[in-house]
Amino acid sequence: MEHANLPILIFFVLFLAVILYQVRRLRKGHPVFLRRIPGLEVIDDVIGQATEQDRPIMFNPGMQGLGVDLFCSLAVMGHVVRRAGRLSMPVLAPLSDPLAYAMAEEYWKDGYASMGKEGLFPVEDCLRYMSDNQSAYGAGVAGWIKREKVGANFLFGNYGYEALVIAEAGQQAGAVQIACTPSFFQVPFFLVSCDYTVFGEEFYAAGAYFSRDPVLTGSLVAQDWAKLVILILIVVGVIVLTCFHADWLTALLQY
Amino acid sequence: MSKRGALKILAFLCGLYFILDFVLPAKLGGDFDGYAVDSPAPATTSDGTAIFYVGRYDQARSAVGRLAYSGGQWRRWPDKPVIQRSLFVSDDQAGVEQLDVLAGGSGLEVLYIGVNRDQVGTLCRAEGDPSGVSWQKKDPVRFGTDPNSAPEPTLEHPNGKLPGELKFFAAARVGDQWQMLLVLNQMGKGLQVWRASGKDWSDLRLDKEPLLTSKSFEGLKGPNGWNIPDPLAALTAFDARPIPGGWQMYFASDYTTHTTGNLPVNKISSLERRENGTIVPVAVARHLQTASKVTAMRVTPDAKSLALSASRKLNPPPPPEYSTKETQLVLLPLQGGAAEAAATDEAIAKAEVAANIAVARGTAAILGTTVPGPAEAVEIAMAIAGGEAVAAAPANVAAAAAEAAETAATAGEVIKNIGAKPTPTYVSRGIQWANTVLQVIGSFAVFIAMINLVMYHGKRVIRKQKPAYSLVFFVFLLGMFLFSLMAKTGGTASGAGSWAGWQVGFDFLFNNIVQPMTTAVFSMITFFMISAAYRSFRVRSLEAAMLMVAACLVMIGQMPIGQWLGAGLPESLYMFRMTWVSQKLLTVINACASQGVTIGLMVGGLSITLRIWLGLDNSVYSGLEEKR
Repeated sequence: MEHANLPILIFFVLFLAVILYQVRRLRKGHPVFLRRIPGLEVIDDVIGQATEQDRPIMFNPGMQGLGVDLFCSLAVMGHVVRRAGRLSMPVLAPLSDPLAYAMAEEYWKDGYASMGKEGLFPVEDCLRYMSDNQSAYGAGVAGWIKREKVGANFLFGNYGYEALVIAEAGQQAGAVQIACTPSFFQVPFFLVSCDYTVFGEEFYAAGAYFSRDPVLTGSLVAQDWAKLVILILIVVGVIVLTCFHADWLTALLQY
Repeated sequence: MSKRGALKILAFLCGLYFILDFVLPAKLGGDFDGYAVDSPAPATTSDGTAIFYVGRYDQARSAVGRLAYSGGQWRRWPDKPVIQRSLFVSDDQAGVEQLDVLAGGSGLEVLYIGVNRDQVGTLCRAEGDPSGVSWQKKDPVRFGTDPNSAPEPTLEHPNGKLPGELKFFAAARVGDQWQMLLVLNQMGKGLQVWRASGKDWSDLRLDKEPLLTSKSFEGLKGPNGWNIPDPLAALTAFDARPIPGGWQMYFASDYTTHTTGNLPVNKISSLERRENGTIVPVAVARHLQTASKVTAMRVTPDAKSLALSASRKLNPPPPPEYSTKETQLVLLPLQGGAAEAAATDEAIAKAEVAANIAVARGTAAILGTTVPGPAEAVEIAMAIAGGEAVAAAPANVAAAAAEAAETAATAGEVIKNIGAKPTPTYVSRGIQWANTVLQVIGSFAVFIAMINLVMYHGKRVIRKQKPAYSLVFFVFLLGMFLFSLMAKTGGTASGAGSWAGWQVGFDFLFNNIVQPMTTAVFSMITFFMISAAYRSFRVRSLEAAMLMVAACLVMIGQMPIGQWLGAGLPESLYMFRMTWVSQKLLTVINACASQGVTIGLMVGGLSITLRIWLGLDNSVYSGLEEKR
């Protein structure tokens, strides 16, 4: 396993301290501004639109196993299932990882149960383990989208080349598509195939965006502070390297 | 305590364990050379002969140590490294790869390949006192190729722009000049030996052409008529010393991937490259045990012995805190001149049979005129000429020759276990166990996924909802399971040979059904790309227009027509060449955006990880929430 060097250890501790400080500050009621993210803002509208057309909703948590990205995807899935549950609409979810399947089942059941719609749809019809093979997963999801004539397609998670297969199938089925991914290389495919695309760190902000929980938004503020520190280090590093022809800052950070 | 509370505490404790493993060192104590030792460089100091060497604390960090001969053995003196990696300079921040110690004006000089965090080597220099205990780092050696201007080192190339990546070096003082041979890896051309010379380390001039390339060995034959294999093709270590009228070079080569059969695959060969361009094989060589490999070597200042580090993979592999290779420092007697004398035509003719037998047993070794060993072998004279084993010995004592060779192969002084091994922490020991537990839990989850599939398709078959597709699922599920199981276990369960049919069946299913279908899905992406590109490249907004222009520029720059366009432009108008525009779009604008996004992702990922670990994020405990 990789081990932290000294600068990383210091950064880690400072970041942790800033998160805790910001959480405490927001819990006391300090206001915080969250900028509007169009791709996340329209989720409720898209669910409503699919309901009007009486077409099912699909949520793809991507090809990822147990990890941070899966938790982020499933947090959004919980929100989508609750909204769909309120309108008595089915949410279909294809899974590519057995552990992810087990977790998604809990989120899915919990979402409907929280709206008092427990047992409205059979789990095995809505949640399906596809395959951990990219091609099989892509082909399976594309077929499912077309057969069920999905009205809203959410792609939240990590993807490989199957991203384009799924997104194009959704496009051909006439579904409104929202993609949100940390997979940088799939962003161009989503941009041209989906109606809304959210990428980068906004993927991790989605949970906080929906809940507006002070704990989650506090960590978002801490993220911005960390990025500011990194930005300052980059600027100082560029100046030191360009003007003074020395790489002591780089060396120090790598020590 | 609620279920959620208990889970949060459990998650915190598990997370704490993994975080401690990340931020704490994996091992405690131990010496700076406890992981491995490498690259010995003997030198004459004011305290007598000393051996400087590279000691590794782990895979990523190394430093220079010093051994002195006392009490009948080589001991570390002083007890700490004499040259450490740098804190503020990246050239040798990860440590030292190879070194050589030379006699300087008022003391000693050390040249070493310092490695930075990206494992890129720089030829660094330090000056020391006559005892070689105290050292002061100096600027890296600078090389120039232009006779009219001084070398221009940059942050990227601290040694100046060399014609290739520095792999090995050898240096010596000849008169008032420093002479160096550099083994450089030139992209697409392989290893080459270059010569540089100059009075000052800050201004060494490289020859215009390499001294040796792989072509130099084409058609080169040893005295016995055998072809001499190209040592640069499989070079693992290099040293050289100037001799009157040229250089004598020592090559350690690992031909493991280049030869087959019973030929020895690890050898040290030597040749002379004269000033007139001729290459003369020298009858000094040593065949090593195939399991070990020479990683560095230096000829002693008196040219009487060869100091080398030989490593072999440990089997079974030790815990990750320890090196997976056992590296030894070896001092071998060097008897090149004598061996050459022994390799007369008559001796060679008599000895080929014995040599072949010895080589086939993997034991052939060097040697000089007389081999120490059993009584029968005392009179045997063996030599290695032209890089191949030849033994001057009567055929009827071939077996004895082999035995003698084996004895000689292990001759020499071996220095190992210099530093104390570190102690792994309890955290690092337990983390392997924790990872195994996670794997086991993950394996059980496969059953949950399979149950879901069986339930879904089973229900469709029972309800007759397009049952054919679901039956296909069951046929292939059972088929692949059966063929895979029998192919793996059938051989031992039901006798040899019976498993072959199952394996053929499994291969048929995989190669003729699964693979083509995978490829078919992948190939569909091409058509999807075209339809997606058509939609997005319609210029509907400023952003779409920018996207289309950038995409067209990059595409044209990658095509032959793009290279043709602007190829005739003068050098001063290079920025109008399509290839330049395309490259800048990809490597500057695109890379900047990509790195910005990556930084955001990393910070975001770390933030959410800490949130979950501290139990601040309740969304991950879905299923345990109170019903709303």
